[in-house]
Amino acid sequence: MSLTRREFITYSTTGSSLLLCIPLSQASQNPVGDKQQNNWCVYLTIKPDNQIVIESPVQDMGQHMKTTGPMIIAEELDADWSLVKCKPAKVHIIEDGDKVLYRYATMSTGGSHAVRNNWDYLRRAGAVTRQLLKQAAGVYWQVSPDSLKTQNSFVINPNTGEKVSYGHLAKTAASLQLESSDVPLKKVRDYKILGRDITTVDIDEIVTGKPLFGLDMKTKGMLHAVIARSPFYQGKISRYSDAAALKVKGVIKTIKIDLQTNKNHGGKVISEGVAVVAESLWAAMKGKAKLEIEWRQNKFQDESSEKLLEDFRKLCGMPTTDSVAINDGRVEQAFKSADRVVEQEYVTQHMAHLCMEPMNAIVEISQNAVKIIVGNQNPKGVAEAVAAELKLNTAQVEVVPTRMGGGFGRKWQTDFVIETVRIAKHFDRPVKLSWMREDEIQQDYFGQAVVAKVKAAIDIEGNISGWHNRQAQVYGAVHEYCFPQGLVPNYRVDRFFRPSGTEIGAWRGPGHLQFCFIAESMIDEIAYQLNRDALEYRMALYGDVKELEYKGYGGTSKNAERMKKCYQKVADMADWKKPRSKGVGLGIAGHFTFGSYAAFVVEYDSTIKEECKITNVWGAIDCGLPLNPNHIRNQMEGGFIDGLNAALYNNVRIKDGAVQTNNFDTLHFMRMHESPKNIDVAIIENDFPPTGVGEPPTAPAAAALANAIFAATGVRQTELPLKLI
Amino acid sequence: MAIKFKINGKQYAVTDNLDMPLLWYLRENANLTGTKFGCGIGQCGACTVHLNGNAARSCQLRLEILDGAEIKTIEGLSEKGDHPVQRAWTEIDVPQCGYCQAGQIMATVALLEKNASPTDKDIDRNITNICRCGTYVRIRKAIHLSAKLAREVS
Repeated sequence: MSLTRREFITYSTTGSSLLLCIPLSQASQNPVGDKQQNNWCVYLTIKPDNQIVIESPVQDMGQHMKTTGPMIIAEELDADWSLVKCKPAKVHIIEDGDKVLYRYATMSTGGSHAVRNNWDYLRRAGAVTRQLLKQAAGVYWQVSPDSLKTQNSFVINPNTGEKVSYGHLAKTAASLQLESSDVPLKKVRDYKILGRDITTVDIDEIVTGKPLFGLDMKTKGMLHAVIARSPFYQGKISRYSDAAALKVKGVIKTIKIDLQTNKNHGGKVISEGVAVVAESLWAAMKGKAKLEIEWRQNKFQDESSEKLLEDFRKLCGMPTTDSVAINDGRVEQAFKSADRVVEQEYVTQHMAHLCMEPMNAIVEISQNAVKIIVGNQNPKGVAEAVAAELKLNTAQVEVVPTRMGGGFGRKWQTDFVIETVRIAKHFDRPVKLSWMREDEIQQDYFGQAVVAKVKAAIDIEGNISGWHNRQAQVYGAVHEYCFPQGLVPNYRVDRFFRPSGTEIGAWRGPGHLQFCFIAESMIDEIAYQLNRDALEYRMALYGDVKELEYKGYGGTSKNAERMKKCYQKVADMADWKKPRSKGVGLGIAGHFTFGSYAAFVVEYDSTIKEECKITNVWGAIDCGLPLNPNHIRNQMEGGFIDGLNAALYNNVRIKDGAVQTNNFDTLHFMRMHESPKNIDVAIIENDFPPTGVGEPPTAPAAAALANAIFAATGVRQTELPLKLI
Repeated sequence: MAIKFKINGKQYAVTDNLDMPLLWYLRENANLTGTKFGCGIGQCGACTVHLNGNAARSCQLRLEILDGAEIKTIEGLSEKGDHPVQRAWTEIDVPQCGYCQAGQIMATVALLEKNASPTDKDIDRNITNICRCGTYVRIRKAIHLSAKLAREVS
């Protein structure tokens, strides 16, 4: 890895801290939402006692980037991991003309992109720091740095056996100029930290209940707010009285929150409501209960889950040139000359995010500045939104990010921060807004419900010669470039959108679970009708194809060989060919999400009465070079369970323009006894650059389970939620 | 009239807001934020504490019924974070986001105090806390390991 003459490292010290700014190599991928920058930095503190504090830029919501990011740096640095401490990075924003950029490192998290995008520069940061330390040791010992080695936070002179700690060298290192622009990166076989099962850096704090989450945060003089909101979509307040609320001891004031509709998809409507502000959270909650509000419906009063699906069905019947997402070959011809046509309709429901920690934010507005304490996937977005709201520039907005109790794509939004700002504007004390569970569900934007009508043409040899999917939903991706696109010569997807009050947004691998449920159930059904084995049929479908074009977030190509390896691996783990007893069946499904490939086999026993009928699960993932197998396995287990929950229980019911299922009593979440006791995970080892694992394990779950239930019972279910028959 | 109770061995007395759920008293008044809010209706278990030795969901316990009660929260489980359940959780590296984990741990401790060697069925029946990140496979492993570690200590 060479730096050109134009690029150079800059660094500075405060005390014993080493602040490195390292130019991004042109080869690195363009990260989500951020412009490519020339001066991303990594903040490292090397202390005299040889401890290293690494500021971990990427937000952590359980996907463990707070551990993985520092692991990458520490590896190239040749640091002793036991001497490494991690803390969340400060958010540094700059304005560059009309663009707002992260000053140092990209901190947003989503789309399983953190490892993919940060892989190069985090390694480079570690390698450059190591080089500077070697140079410092060269000065210290008056020898050439090229003759020196490093190991476990020490520089070693192999000729004399002497060693000196990084802690001792840090100050000198920071004052040196990097001698050579050619700083080598380690070979995989020399890795000591990457590839190991490293424990989460926050484990001690988590198991002892230390304050880590936004909802745990407090500031001096803080006021509390809760909001009573419109029970239906975009409802308006006809009139309200806060007289009784204000009588509650501790309640100070109520603030009306106006409805704000948002034309930009991916954004979020802010519901009309009344905020109660009090000295304590309990007083605010009691005050809220005493509000008297008269609501009037807006235009969505007839909206319901059933009506939406009905409308989707109608839309699917009307393909036009406008609806075409992709049209390879000539599907009409394929259907004309087909030996057999297989037709299915698939339905999925709206899926809630259910972040275990409901949304919250603390906003402190002072004369020319504002400080926000919030757990959010996109701190830069928070700074921009707040700056715009208060007509400041982003340099005046300090964002202090916290760990998130779940994000899943919902905490990318800034609506709950803006609500807090609009309340805090009225006070000269900090204001903390806390959402209740009902808020978290009713103010959610959902994973899209879809109706998809799929037709497949099968030729005389049993190959899929044509595929036509007509899919309708409120909004969102249809992923027309996922397999079997490219494998089927005549392939067409039509998509239809139906605007509604129900809001749709990024839900863990947006659109991928739906796509995989449709495609993998369909392929499964085709295999069955042709009396072919489900695994063998898939492998034949992929054939000898190597790599195909991919268009869509997450990559520019999809690799058929990598996908096949996952199918084969997981089938081997499940002992696919072993006959199961009557009423027991295996289902297989795989998917490519945002650069990684995952396949699962579910074993389902329909004869079980009292325990979980999902008796075994096996999963195989190819996420390129595995950086922390422990955490990859955790994501595979948890992500798959999330997918199972989506297949069985995550079914938001809308009626009369309102979300009816607004807590866990009506919107069930899988419990321990309903989830598989064991999920065996294999990580396919290779040298592809690392890709993410936050989302890939979720997509195959619904199809794998549906296919297993079919294999066990002969009943093909094409509508979620699935029944555990 | 004062309601008096102990939290992690420390004495507290309240005269106001006796209808407040213990959950909010812990988080807002006693400054013990380890016990989490997840639903407010006793469904999710994120607010699990020990009440007189039994697992209880603190969002459902109004202060007025707690006179004479002994309450233990995650913060009071051990001085050094080395309760066998905490050690097992660390060894298995259970958490993802971590938000539900204090409640899971408290529910597990209560189970093990009544049943030192729980079977999978015992775990199914007694551990009903929600883990939104789906770490159930690891929680189950950690419970079995906790039982083993607890036996080694005793």
